Order: sequence, then structure tokens, then C-alpha cells
Amino acid sequence: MTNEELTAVKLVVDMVNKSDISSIRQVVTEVLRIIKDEKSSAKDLKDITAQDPPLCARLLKLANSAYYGYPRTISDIQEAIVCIGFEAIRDLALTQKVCELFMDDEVRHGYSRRQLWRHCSAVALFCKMFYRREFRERGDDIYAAGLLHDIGIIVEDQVFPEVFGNILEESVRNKRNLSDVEKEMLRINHLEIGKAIAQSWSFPDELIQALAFHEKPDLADENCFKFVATVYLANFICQRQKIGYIGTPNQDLPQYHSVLARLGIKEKAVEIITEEVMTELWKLEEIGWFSR
Amino acid sequence: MSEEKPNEKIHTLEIKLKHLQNDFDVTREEFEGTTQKYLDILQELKEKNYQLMDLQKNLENLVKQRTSQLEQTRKILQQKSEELQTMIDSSPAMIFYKDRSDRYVRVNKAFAEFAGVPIRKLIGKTDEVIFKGQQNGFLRNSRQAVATGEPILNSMETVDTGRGRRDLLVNSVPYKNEEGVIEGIIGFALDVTAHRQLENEQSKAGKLESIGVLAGGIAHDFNNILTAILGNISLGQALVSKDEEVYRVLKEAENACLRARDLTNQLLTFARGGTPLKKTTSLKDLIMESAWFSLRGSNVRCYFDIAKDLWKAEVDEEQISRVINNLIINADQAMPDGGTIDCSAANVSVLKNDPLPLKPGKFIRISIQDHGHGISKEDLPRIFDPFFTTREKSNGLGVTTAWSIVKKHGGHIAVESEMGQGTRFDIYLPSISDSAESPVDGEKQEQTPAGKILVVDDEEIVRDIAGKMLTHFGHSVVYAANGEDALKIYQSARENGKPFDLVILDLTIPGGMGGVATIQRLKELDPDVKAIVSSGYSNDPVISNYEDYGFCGVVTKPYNVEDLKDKISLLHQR
Repeated sequence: MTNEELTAVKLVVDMVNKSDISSIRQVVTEVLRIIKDEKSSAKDLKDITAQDPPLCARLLKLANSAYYGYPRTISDIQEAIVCIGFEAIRDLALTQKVCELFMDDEVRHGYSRRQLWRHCSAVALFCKMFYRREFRERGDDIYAAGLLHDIGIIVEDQVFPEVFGNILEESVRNKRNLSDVEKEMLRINHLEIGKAIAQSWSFPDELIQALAFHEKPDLADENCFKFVATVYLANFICQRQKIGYIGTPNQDLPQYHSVLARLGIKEKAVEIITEEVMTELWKLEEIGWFSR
Repeated sequence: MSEEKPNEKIHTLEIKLKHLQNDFDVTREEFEGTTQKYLDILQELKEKNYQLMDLQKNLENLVKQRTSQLEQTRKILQQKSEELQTMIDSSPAMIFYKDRSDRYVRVNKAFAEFAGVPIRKLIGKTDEVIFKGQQNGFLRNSRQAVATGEPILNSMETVDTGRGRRDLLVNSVPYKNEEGVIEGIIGFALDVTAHRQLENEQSKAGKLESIGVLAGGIAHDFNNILTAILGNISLGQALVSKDEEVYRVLKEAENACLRARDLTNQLLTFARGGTPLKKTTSLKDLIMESAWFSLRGSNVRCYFDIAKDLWKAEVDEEQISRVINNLIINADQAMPDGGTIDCSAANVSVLKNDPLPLKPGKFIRISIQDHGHGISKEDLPRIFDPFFTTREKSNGLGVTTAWSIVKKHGGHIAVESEMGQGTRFDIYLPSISDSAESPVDGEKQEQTPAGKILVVDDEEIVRDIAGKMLTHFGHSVVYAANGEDALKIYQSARENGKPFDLVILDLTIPGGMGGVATIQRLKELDPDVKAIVSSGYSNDPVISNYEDYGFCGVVTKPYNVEDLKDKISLLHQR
């Protein structure tokens, strides 16, 4: 990175930390800690939500929704954890907190926050599904990585709305890659912004790499490859399936096949998982997941 | 999909199977995790439960602690209360707390003893219950004190109790609670019955003393005159035959004189400080004879109830006989239409706290109860005053004399009377229960051997009459006007070999040597001298204790022939 770029990144991070976006930092960090910590308990999760009453209310609303179909009314987080499961509530908490960033809908040049949110949720879902179905792992931080992989775009939208508008316009009009336009106009792209914020917020290393390299997973460290590649794969499939905001997709098929091969995932498995995720997304749409 | 080759179909199913297998495994892990979390929650609940139990335990301990503190406080209060009770119990005065409704809240021992009811039976009761509904001062005062909030101090009250009517000095002080509302009264009462009686006795004694001095002065001279009159009458009677009219007239005169002598004697009894001529006596005979004698010719009957084991008393028989006499006559006169007198005598032990102005000890109580008209409340306090009488014929000295005599004996007379119901006199005489009765009376001798007698008296009239009487009995009489002359005459008679058999010495000789000094000088001349002291004052200490002064006997003025004769004959017997 050039000095110019570093200065830009530092500036952006400072601005983010002074904006409303930083409000998600604590919850996200805490949830990630709980995921890591084997000994973390329901009480920890409850404590996090207790500090955020609106979040707690939304969690309970979702826990009582038809999606989970629990017959009795769930009245507190502890009960929700027992009824729905610790992991489910944990992911729900994360989702709902991150979701706060995608408020206020305004469509311009094919972009809207809601569409971006739909995209991020779908990527998170895909990531989780690949980990469980293909790697037989819970994939602790992978859901968070999916949700947050485009945080750089949100930052641009909220911190430099005018510039971001120009970027969108340029990208759509000349069918140029978003990252290239960003580079040109901001000196930095949303991947670099995401990485800088993740570093500033002391996110785990694999999360930082996922935010930085989900378009070019080969650049990731060897030990983080599976993690970063999964986010790449999920993002690629969502763009291909046109789920949510997709901007101008960079459908580099040779890279896609090479990643698939490296992960040991067959094209057929991708098809099957895509089918399942689409069904899931439809269910989520039903309960107003994306409309809040 | 339908175009899929079987190979591909199998491939798809294989992948789906793998996916389901993997998902199942992950879900199982998650389930296990969730189970763990569930257990965590249970653990947490358990811990909360322990905390609750701890809290409960703490609470229980606190309650226990508090209870024990309360118990301790209660014990301290109890102890303080007992201390207070001991304190107020040790007060000689009565102390009582009453609430607004006049119920006793706390009383002390003195109060309970006074009321004659145990403390625990007093608590919660009112005066109406305890003192049988009488409108006594406790009640009035406490109501007034509660109503006004002002203490009532030094109020004199009279209350009837099981131990008779008592005079009390009462203070009633209202007490207030923290808000200043009057809750009741604290009362202090002192039983001043004994004090009052003592005061009354003292004022009675003082009154009698001053009157006595006055009366005594008159009586002395009057007695000397009477001696002359009576002597001459006696002599006149001796000179005439009993059949003659003159004798009868003289007898009337003699009776009048005797009555006059009685009167002066009564006056003299209380006129001067004197001691009765005491000897150990069986009171039973004395009482019965005196009473019987007093009721001669009366339509009143007397019933006796005299204890068989009645203690002995040391009394002047004549005086006590007069006391009985006076009181029986009064009782008789209280019942002009006839009736009965209950006369009783009993042994009583007077204790320290008895409401009698007597020292503790053994006493004989003689009660004379009539059923006559009674004495009014106004008159009752005055009946012991000299010359106080409700009857025309009475000289008003009967009861006064009785009081005076009994006092001299170290006793006490109490009177109770109810209009229309009758009057009761209680005479208390000190007993000497351990001394044996000594026989007193010897036989009278009709004949008296003739002797030579020296009569010493400053009053010529008295010398004359004595001389005449003695001459009449056959004695030879020589006179002296004072002690100095008497000594000379006695001495010369001895020297001449014609000594006197007897000397009659006047106790008091104005301006000359009196009886006491003379007998001492005579004893120096002749240790075997026989002398009789004569005086108008039967209560003079010399008369009472004549033997201590060297006399052989006593003769009281005015002389009565029989009396004089008796004394001289007694002398000769010895």
C-alpha cells in the first residue's frame, strides 16, 4: 500500500470509529468471543443482550416467530437459548446487530442497503452451510465473516455518501468492477476498508483476511485459505444467483473452479446447497428478516 | 433432472447423504453444547438457590439475633421492673399508679397491706371494687387530677378498711406520656392515723393539764374546809343517839359532804401529776363488784364476759374501780328506760402497727358497751374534756377522771359511738402476766388499843377534827403546827419516857417543814418511829410510794372516822 492509501485508510477508520457504525463493535466482538470460548455460557450471551434492550426485544420477536415454530411464548433470552439452541440465538444476535447498519432504504444505481443486507445474509448462510455440510464443522466465525464481508461498502455509503454515489454510477455505467472504481476515486477499495476496520476492532485474523481477500482467496495465508475461500465461494454463488445487491460481478470462472477444486467441493454439491439456501432465504423473507 | 443419468443420480444422492451426515454430526455437537448450556443454566439456578438459601439463613440468623436481643431487652426491663417494685415496696408510704379509668396499674406492698388485698388482685381494679363503693378521696382526687392535669397535694382523706377507719395524707400527681397526654396518676399516701391520735391525745393531755392545775388549787383549799365540816359532822353523829332526828340530819349532811369529797377527789385525781397506788390485782372481781355497785337500784342489767385466764394487772384498785364506776353510770344513764350493758374483759397483745396510742405489749381490754342513745359525732371528740356533759345532773368529770386514771396507769381509753345504737368504751390496762397475785386484805379489827398520837398539821381546823376523832376512839392526842415543833415534842416525850405510838404527818406545810423532811428527822431520832402521812392529794408520788419515804400508812383528807380508824388499827397490827 502506498503512503497515500495508508493515510486514507487511517482517516476512514477514524471516521468510522466516530460514527454510528462503531456501535456494532462491542456486540460483534463479544459474540465472537463467546464463539471462541468453549466455557462461555448462556449467561454471557444474556449479559450481552441485556446491555442492548432493542436488540433483546428483536431477538425475542424472532425467537417467537413462525420460523422457529415454538409453541409457547418465549419471554427471556435464557429461555430462548434453551428452546431454540445456543448457536441459533448467538447467530441471531449477531445478525440483528449487524442488520442495524443496513437501515434506511434508498435505491440508487441498482444499490440499496436492503439489497446489500439481503446479499450479506445470503453469503453468511452459504458460508455456514458449506462448513456444516461439506467440512463437517460448525465454522464458528464463518457466519460473522459472511455477514460482515462487505462492511467496507456500508462504510463508504454512510461515511462518503456522495463519493459512493459517484462510484456506483461509474461502476454501473461503464460496467466496471466496483473495487477498481473505488481505487480510482477513493484510493482505497471496500476490501481494504473492511480489513482496516477489522484490524482496528481487533477481530480474529481469519476474519480480517476474509474481509480483505474474499475476492482473491489465493492471497490469503495458507492456514486461513479454507475460511477465506468459503466466503469467496458464497459471494461468487450469490452474485451468480443474483441474490441481493450484486453490483458488477467479476465472474472469473477459472478462479472459481480452482477454488472449488482446492476446497474439494464438487459442482453438484454447490447445486444442492444453493437449492437449500434458496429455500431458507425464502423462509426468512416470510418472517420479515430483510424488512425489519 | 429427469434427464440425469443413473450415475449422476447416485452421485447426487451420495452428496446429499454426505451433507445430511455432516449436518447431523454438527447438529449433534451443537445439541451437546446446548445441553451443556442448559446444564449451565441449571447450575446457575442451583447457585441462585444456594444464594437464596444463604440469604434465608442470614435472615433467620438475623431474626434469631433480634429475638435474642428482644429477649435480653425484655429481661432487662423485667429486672428494672422488679427493682422498681422492690424500691417502691420498701417505701413506708403507699404508692400507686392508676390509669385514666381509675384502674390500678401498679401498687406497692404498703398499699396492698393497707387495702388488705394481695397486689395481683389489685391490678386492673378500681377503688369502687376494692373499697366497696365508698366515695373515698382516692377516687375523687385521681379523677380531678386527671381532668385538670394539676397535682393535688397533702389532701387529708379518711378511708374505711378492714383495720378500721384510717386517716391518710394523699398526694395525687398526674403523669403524662411522650405526647403530653395524661395517662393516669401516681399517688403517694401516708397513713397518719397514729399521728393524728397522738396529736389528739397530746392536745387532750395539754388541755387537762392546764385545767387540772386550776382545779387542783381550788380543790386543795376546798378539801381542807371539807375535812373540817365532815369531821365535825362525824363527831356530832358520835355525840348523839342514832334514833335522834339530829343524827338523821347530820347523816344527810355527811352524805352531802361525802359527795363533795368525791368531787374534789376526782378533781384532784387529774389535777396534779401523781402515781396511782398500784398493787397486783385480779381485775375480774374488781370489775364485777364495781359494776354491780354502780347499778344498784337501776333497771339496767349488766352481762359479763370476762376471760377466764385474764392476765393480772398492777393497778390502783380504788381508782380503777372509780373508772368502771363512772363508765357504768354513764352507760346506765344512757338508757333511761332500762336495757343491758355488755361488760367484757379480754387479753390483748398490742402490736407495733396497731392504731392505738400504746406501746407494744400485753394489755387487758375492758369493754363497756351500752345500747343507749349514743353520742353524736360532734360531741364525741369532746367527751374527755372536763366539765363537758350532756346531762344536767352530771358534773362532767366522770369520763375525764377515767381517762386521767387510765393514762396514769400507762393505759388508754378509746370510745366508739353510733347515734341510736349505743356507746362502747375500751379500756386498755398494761398487764403483768408473770407476777403472782398477792393477797391484800386483812381482817378488820373492831377494837383499837389506845395509844399516844402526835398530829402535825398547819391547819388548826384539821388538827382539831383529827384530835377530836382520835380522842373519841380513846387515844391521847398531842398537836404540832409544823415539823420543827413536832420534832421537839417527839424528842421531849421520848426523853420523858412517854413516847408516841404514832405520828400523823401532813405532807405539805406552807412555810414549815413538811411531812417528808420531818419523817427523815424523826427516823434519825427514832428509827422505829411509826408515822402516817396525810394529804389531800392522793396522787402525790409520796402518797403512792409512802413506804419509800419511811411512812407506815396513808390517810387522805378530809378525814373520815372509819378511814382513820382503819389506818390506825392496821398500824397496830404490824
